[in-house]
Amino acid sequence: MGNHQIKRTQTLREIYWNYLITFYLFSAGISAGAMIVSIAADFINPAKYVSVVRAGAYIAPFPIMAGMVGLVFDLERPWLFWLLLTTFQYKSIMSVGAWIISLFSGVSIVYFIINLPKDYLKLKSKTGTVNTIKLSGFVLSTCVALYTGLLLSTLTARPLWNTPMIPVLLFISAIIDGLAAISLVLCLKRGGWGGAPNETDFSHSFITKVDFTLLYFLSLATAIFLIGMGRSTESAVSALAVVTGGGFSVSFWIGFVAAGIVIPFIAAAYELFAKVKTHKPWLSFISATLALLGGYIVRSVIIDAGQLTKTILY
Amino acid sequence: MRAAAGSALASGLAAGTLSCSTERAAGVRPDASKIPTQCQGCGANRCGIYVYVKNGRVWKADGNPKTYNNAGTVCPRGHAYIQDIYNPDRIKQPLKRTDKGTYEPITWEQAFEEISTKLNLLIMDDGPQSVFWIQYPMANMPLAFRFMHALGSPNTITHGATCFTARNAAFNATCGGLPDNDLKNSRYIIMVGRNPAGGVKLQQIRDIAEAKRKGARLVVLDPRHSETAVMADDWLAVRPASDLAFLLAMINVIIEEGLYDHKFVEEHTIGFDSLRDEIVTYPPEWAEKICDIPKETIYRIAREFAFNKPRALIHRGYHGGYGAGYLNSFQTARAVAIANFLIGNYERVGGLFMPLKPTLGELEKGGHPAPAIPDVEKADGAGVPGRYPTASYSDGIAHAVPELALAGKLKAGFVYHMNPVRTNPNPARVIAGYKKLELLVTIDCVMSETAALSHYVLPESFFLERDDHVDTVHSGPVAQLTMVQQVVKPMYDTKPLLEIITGLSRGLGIGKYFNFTMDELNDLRLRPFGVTLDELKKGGVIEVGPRWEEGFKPCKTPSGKIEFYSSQLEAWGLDPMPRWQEPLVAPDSSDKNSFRLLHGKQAIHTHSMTANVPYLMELSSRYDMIRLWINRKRAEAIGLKDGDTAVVESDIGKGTVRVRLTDGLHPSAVWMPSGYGIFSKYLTTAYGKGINYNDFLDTYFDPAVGHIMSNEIIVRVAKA
Amino acid sequence: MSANPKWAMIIDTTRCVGCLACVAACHNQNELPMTEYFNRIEEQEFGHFPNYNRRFTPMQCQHCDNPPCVGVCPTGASYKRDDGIVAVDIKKCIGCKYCILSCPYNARVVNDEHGYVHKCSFCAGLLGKDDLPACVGTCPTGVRVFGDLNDPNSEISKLAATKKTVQIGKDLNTRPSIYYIIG
Repeated sequence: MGNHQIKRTQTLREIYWNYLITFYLFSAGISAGAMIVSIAADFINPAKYVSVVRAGAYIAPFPIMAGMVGLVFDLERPWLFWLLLTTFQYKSIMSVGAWIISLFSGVSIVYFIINLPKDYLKLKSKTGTVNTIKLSGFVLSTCVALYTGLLLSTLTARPLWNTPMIPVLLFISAIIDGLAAISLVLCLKRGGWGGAPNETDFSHSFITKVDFTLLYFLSLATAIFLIGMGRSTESAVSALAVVTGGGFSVSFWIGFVAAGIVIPFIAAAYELFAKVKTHKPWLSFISATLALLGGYIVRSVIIDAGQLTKTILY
Repeated sequence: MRAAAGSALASGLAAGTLSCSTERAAGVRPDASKIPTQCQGCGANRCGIYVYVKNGRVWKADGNPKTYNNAGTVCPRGHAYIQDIYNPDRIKQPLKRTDKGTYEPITWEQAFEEISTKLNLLIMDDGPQSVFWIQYPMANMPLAFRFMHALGSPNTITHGATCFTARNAAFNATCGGLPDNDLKNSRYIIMVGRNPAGGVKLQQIRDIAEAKRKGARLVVLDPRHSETAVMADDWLAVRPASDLAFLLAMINVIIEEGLYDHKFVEEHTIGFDSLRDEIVTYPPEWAEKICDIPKETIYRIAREFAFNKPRALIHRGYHGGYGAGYLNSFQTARAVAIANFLIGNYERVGGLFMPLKPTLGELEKGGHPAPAIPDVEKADGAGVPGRYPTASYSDGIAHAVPELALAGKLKAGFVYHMNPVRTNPNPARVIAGYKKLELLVTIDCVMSETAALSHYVLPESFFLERDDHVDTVHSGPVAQLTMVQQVVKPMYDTKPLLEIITGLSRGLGIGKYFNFTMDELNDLRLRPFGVTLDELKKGGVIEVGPRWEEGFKPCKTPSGKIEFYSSQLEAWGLDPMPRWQEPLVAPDSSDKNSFRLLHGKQAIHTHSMTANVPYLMELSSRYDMIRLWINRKRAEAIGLKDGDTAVVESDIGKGTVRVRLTDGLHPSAVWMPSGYGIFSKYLTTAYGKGINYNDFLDTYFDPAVGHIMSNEIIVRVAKA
Repeated sequence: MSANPKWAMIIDTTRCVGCLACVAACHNQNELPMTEYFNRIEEQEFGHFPNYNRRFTPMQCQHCDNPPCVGVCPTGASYKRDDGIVAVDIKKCIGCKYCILSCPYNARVVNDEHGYVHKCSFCAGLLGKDDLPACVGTCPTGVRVFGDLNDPNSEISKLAATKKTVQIGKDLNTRPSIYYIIG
């Protein structure tokens, strides 16, 4: 009879990163996502999608600022926060991320200003400068959206995080959240900022198509994550079990999978395939709110469950 | 780099600058002084330690590398107990019980006057033999003896009858004293219920580890997979109360197969022929049905044990197994002694040996005559033929006190650093007994359950705040002198025991026996060795006299030999040779909720005295140690899951406790850690945490020794 | 001790009886608050009655040669010393707890009073003076052997050459300085 180990406790007691960090990663995702969507729309057709461009630009700087306040208050020594920006530790995702977010904040504010109706910075004529700002904004927001996942996925001690699918999942989710935030703004700002009569409908149609595509990829990424973790090491399997079958299962399946993916996906599919041409604010509002809720919940589940499970060492 | 792990820390850190960790080293390099003293974290070992004081505050302890009992190491209790000097629950001045049951502070003068006045009246009415003194046998025991004898009372009592007296009595009957184990040099070690890794004896676990490094085999016979069993080659999960059957079968094999030491048996023992005639009835085929150890295993262990003679031993044991556990404990201990001596390991390297005991100087030599030992029988009947003839006179029978108080035979008592209300069986009965006393004085550092019943509570200075007298507890193969030395100033209005007794003695008319100081006493005790008190205080431990040497020395038995057959026992109407004896009670095999309740120590607790040490209680809860162990299959059969709360109930008491499911326990028993269940509300850390086996144990007196039979408990365990 | 010491420890779990002396010694040595720990003992059970065994495994900072906690620290507060010790400069620590989450050994703890993260330092303040970490000196069964791996005559170097040892969490590419004898 072989020795078999009877006890294998997988749930730890401590939570070191609480809801403030969840909020921080969530808000950074919204900012980065809104910026990416805005700049992308601008590249494609700035006149047709002007409402998307502007809503994105107006959103981008603010959630991440609130998130940074949350981050500072999660530090055990918030008064030393400035130490993050007196050093650059290239091996530390957090240090690199702190610098990227700082740069992103600056660029997103400039981008916000140049998208205001009035030309405060006297830049509208300087196409080269504006394009540089847009390009760097696109790169930085991509980095921010990736950062939130890489921050977690590079820790070998945490099997739930230590998978390349985490940054992929959180990246796609970040753009969906940014898109949802833009969609919400357009529900409130009826008519958008467009001059053309059907501009809001164009913007909405753009949002729906992108949303549909991203939700499709998010569901794929989620499936790959679940299948991959489920067929991985004992550490990964038992960590995943805490998410899909343990105390987090309701949040995960209802909050994230149903509310964050399935329902918005059905809504988008309905609008696309039923060829709904006009903007239905109530539908957009529900769909966007659910997507944002799902985005928050999936981060909350991953962060909490990731901390409560660790790599089994022996 | 230094090789000797044990000594390096202590010797490297001469008093001077120290630093604690990298981070802080840069900024602060604190000055710390290092003072040798004797640890009081358990009472049994009294390890030699250095206590470090930093900025006037007790910081940490290191082991004194020279002491026999710990050789440079310290157990968790030792580390934690030094911090108990700062326990907010300490008693800060003498207390007197009010009519409402609360306590009011009084001066020492008032305490001495009132106690001695009351005691004088009681002695006038009922005689001095109505007074008793009970204590855990720490260094100050001789002062207590002197005090009681001066009063005219023989009633000095220790916790012995609740702990080890069956073992002591059996070894006394067999070889005239209690031998020590030369574990370090042994090639084959059998532990019968003894767990030095739980009831910590640092020297013993160190020596077992050392022996194992040299290739020795370790066999642990224990219903529970003890912490010592973690190091063992064989864990034999014996049915509780049947160790005697296993041992008789071992003796059977050793004799039947001629594996004993023929020369030793011939020259140094008596009664072998009778033993051989008797033992044929106990082959392994018989024993396996009783003790649940397969006969093949018994044959193998007996042969391996004998083949390694004389460097093989069965540990002499302590409380666990047969110290005071069962009706058959006395005979079990006899069987342990006999199995050992059959292979001629008496006074042999790697076997059992009589520890050295240097004779300390007497007070008489300094002109302080000793009071005569009162010519009266002890009230508890210890050592009295017809009552408990094999019980130890000096240990007495602790749990007889409540009975004697209820019978009106004891009227007044002193309790010194002991807590019988918690550590004696059936607390309701103990409380009733102690409440009946007309004068109860407790001398302690904290308000134990017993203190909380007392008329007067006198706070002794914490051990780091006082000098005690020189003692020889560190003697074994070497003879060593050590002492408790004051490390810091007393924090409160407390006194060392000698000053308390001196204060009491004046009003009791026995002041002439207590007209010396602790320094005078210690000077006299050291005089025979040519050692000064300063030298001892500086070194903490001093080795004196020659070391133990191999070779038979006449036993202190009537025959001067090892007595397999004891005529003395026969004369007292007891079995002269070990015979199989059923335990007093047994679990009901048809009831799936019925278990025998066993108990044992955890390395982080001592009796009931450390549960209130905050750091140790923190460890208890962090490691989830306040749980009842139960066999996994039996637990599952009654619907218990790991961590569930169970109700435990006997005829005496009832309580709830969380369970630990394990495969490391005999199915017929549950096992309870023994250090919990504090119910004195003055002990704020420990109060209400866990339960205690004494809550379930009826009051028994073993017919031969008078011990408590602490494992003769049947409980029903069910899901709460 | 060599000119460039490389401090390391061998832990023989076959001798560990789980008494917690090392835990208590560490507590006093480092003057830790009640609920903060630099080391701990983990218990495992094997088999079914009566074929059963337990193992106690002392666990603490492994002073990795590739320490994840140093890599993730955003301010450089966690660092690796030349003698192999992983240390924390508490003045630089902002308390982000990223290092705690990065440590596979759960060896780091937040100081409740000041908010910095601290951990076992192999009692670094004592080293170089021929002194042993508190947990080593107090162990009754000699479970822990501490010393300089760069000194060929040290007890640990000799033991490392004669006993089979394993590094816990080797898979995670941490390269620990604590070696275990599992038995």
